[in-house]
Amino acid sequence: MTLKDFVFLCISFVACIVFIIGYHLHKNKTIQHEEVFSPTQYTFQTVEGPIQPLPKELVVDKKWARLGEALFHSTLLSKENDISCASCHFVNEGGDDGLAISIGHQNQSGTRNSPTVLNAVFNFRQFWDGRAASLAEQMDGPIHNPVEMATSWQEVIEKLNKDSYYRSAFYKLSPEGINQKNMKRALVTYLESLITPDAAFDRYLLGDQTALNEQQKRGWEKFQSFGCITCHQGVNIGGNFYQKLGRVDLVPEKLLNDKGLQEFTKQENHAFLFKVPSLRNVAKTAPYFHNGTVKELQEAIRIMGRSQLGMELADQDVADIEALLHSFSGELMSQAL
Amino acid sequence: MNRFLFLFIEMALMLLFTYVGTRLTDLDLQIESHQETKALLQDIRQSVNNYQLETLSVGVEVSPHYDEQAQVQLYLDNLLDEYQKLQPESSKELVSEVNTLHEGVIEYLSIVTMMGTSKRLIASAEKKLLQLANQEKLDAETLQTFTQLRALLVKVYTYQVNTDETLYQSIQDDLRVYAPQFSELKQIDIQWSVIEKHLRFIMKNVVRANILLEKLRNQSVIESVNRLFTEEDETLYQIKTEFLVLVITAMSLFFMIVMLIMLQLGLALKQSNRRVVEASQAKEKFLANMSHEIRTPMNGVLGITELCLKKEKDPTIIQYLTNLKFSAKSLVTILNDILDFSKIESGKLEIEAISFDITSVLDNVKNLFQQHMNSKAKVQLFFEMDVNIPKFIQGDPVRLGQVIINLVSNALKFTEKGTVTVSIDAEVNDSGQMFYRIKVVDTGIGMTKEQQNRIFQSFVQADQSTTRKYGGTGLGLAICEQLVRLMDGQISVSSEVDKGTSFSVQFPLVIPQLHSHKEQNLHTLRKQNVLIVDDHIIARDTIRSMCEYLDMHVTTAHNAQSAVEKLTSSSITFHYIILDWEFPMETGLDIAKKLNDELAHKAKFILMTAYSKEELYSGPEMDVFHHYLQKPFSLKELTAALLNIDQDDMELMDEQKGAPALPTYPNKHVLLVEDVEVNRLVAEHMLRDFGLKLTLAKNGEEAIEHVRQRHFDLIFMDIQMPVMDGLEATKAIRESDTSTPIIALTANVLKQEIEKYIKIGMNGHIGKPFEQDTLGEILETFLSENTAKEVLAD
Repeated sequence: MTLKDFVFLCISFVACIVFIIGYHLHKNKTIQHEEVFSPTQYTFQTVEGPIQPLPKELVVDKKWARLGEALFHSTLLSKENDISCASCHFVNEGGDDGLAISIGHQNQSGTRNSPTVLNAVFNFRQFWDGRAASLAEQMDGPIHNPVEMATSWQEVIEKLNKDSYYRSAFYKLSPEGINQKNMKRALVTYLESLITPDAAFDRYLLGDQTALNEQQKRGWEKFQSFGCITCHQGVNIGGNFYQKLGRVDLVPEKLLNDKGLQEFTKQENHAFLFKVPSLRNVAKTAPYFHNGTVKELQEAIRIMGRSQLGMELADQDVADIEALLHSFSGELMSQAL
Repeated sequence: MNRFLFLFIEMALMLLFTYVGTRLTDLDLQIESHQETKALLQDIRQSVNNYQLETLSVGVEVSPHYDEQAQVQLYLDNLLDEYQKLQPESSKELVSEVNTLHEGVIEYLSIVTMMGTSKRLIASAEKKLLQLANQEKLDAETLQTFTQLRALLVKVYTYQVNTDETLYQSIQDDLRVYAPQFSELKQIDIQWSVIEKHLRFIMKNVVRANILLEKLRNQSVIESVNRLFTEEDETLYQIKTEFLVLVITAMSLFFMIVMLIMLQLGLALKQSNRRVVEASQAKEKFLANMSHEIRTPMNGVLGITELCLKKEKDPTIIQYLTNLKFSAKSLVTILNDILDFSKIESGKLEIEAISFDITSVLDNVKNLFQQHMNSKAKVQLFFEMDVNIPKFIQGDPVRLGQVIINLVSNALKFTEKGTVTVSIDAEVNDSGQMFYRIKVVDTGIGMTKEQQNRIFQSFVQADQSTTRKYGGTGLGLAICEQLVRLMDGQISVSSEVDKGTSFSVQFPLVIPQLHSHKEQNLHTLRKQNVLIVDDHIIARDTIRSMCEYLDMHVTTAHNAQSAVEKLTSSSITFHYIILDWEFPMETGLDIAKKLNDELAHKAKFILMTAYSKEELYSGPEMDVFHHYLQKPFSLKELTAALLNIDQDDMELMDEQKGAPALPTYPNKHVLLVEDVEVNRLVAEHMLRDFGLKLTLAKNGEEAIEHVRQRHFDLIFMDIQMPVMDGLEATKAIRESDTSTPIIALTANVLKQEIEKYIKIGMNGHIGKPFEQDTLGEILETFLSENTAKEVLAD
């Protein structure tokens, strides 16, 4: 063996070891990207009783939330660059668009009313039928729905990458740049900041007896004694389990075109099961029900009393409960961003 | 071929090593993922438990709202998502089971919460009626209806616990029958129709709710989580085992590769070592050949020159021939130097460790330079010896002599006038080791520091310029340095330009255990009293130290008067009296006479002088001196003089006269075997001077022929000859004749060669070129009547 051979062997051997180490690092992906993100945190206040106030304080990663806000308002998220999330969810006007059925890609419409994005983070599941377990999962729906944005994450990423603002904004926050994970993180963070605390009813819950007027207090009594409270409870006054539309009695014909969860699960027992919708800001989110066919809040109250509780509510009862529902409206937390 | 095989195996091992390494990485990651899965499954188990408990608690209305249940459900879903990402395959079953659980829960909750509301509504109506009844505000008819209603409600409550078919029918019948009466109950806030609807709702859903509750209580999800957990555990164990095996494999592979590389390096080293050995063998062989090739013609040159010198009468030609002889001898010296150097370089030179007489080494040196001294009268050579040095020490006398000769000749070469002093002294260093040091100090041209640094290098002289004044190969000091090193000694030099140079060699002093018989003779001198009379203080001290070295009692005197005083005043009996010749006012003879008159007993008188005997006054009075020593004299000469006066006297006489008359061996018959004509001629003439009968042979075959025909007293046998060489011939002769001494004539003077000659039965050797004296010694050894037998007997 010459010195040349020896050197050659040694180099080969070192190369082998380097390869193994390289392979290990690659597989392990131990090289951690420096990523600045802090998950949103709420400070809840708990009270006795079935309804809980919304948190008045939250810590949100503002950089990600601002990026999410920009994305929320960006029409680049739709196929023809004409629709943004904000097209159907007016965050300052109840979080929906006031239409029975929203208008999407090429003026097409779906079958369901657009639900509010406000306080959506406190819903246990998303969509009317609750088929999405989280906000992040929910986003896949409108992006891909051919009658909504009619596009795909891939297309959106390509478009955003051509946009200098989004490129630099994303790379500032994450070395991975623009990808589905980061887009969802930005949007979810933004949505997490969209809460409406300090409603009159919340103040009442927290001990301010003057927060509700006499009618509203009567309405609150009836809300409980009639049994509305059975489903509309928790921090979001609903939105934490499924209930069957027309549980006890008949529902109007116009609400029967949609079988709710059954459309998704195809389970016989799931017919007309809907996620109990939140009553937060309900006074601002007309029209009502999954297909938006009920325009008036009073009508909605009457339908609920009849179908869910088997009661024909008196005008005074409806008026009292309606007054109570107005106290569920809060203000969007502007200081969040 | 071997090399490529090795390389191939190594590359294969490395590939295998790489594969095992990557596989280990994969396994490591798998272990990590499985451990993660295990932790996750534990969380899932806990979470499913919580989920079921929370859902059940909603059913029994423990908590006023269902946020917690919803959160638990969300948490479980998230865990399942993670699990699905980690184990897409094995998670399928669990995910579908949890989904089934979810479906049940969704339906159960929607029913059970509503049933709660219904019961509350009915209970509030019942309560109202009961209050009225207690206050006796109900009329008899209403009270009866109320009783009927209560009976019905009891039936409904019973049905909820026990879903009996007949009970169900009976309740349905009651509802139908009593409906008109019940609808008359106006005392309650809630209309009967509402209560009826809720009652019917309860009746309709009790069975379903119970089925769903049963499903909810089912532990099948927990069980399958447990099953998955156990599976994970087993897989993890398997992977860990494999991991361990692979780690051991990787380690063994690593060691194998390292071992292989080491093995190859070792082999390569061995190979290169063999090449070096082969090369040095070739060099040695070349040297032997070259030495032989040069020595053979040199033999002729030297021999013929010597013969010519004997025949020639013309002084001019004699001068030329003397110069020629000197030149040829120089050439031989250089040749010997080169051979020595090569031998040292190749590690072939063997240093002996025998007991030797250091004074005899010095005597040899002195004798060698005697003639040189005469022709270069301006330089004087002195020898000084420390009394502390024992006479016999252990070492290599030949090589030591060579070193001293080299240094002395070097000193003489570079000294135009002044002195060259050779001194030997002994000392003990810090660690208690004894050393003896030989110093050669001259008053020659000296050297600069830079020159001193390179004089021990081969082929380098102090004066490197082409116009240098002094010749030489530049090997002398290099050989000295090498020899000294081989003898575990050190050589150093100090010098100053135009002042002189001092070389100093230092060897460990080893005293031999066994003393030679000569040493025994010295006992006769021990404790003897000696009187030294010399006016020169240094000379006196030198002789004094010599005598002290011989363990004699010394008394000194600086003139006749003090000598007489010493002799008469002390009671010492002087055995020896050493006298100088030259004194300011008188001669040694005068003092000897005076002392002789004073002496009561007989003492040995020894005369020492720088004059030759012929130059001194000669007459019968000189007989008072038993011995004559010429200055400078060595310890050995002194000892010889003290011990055996007559014999040494003869030798000294011979030295003075030059070449002694050659002994003759008229009755001896010698066979000379030599193929080269010129060499044969030289040897023939040299031998004829000894008055021998001589037979010549040209090669081994002829020699054998001659030996068969007649008896020879001695055979000189050349080694390299055509037809049959000396070795073959010797072997053949030895088959029939073992007594006739055979002497090798050879230019091969390497030790191994000579050992080989002795082995096949030769009795001695003479290296070419040889001189007549060498031949004479051999003849004396083997042909003298008294010694020949002795030698052969050895």
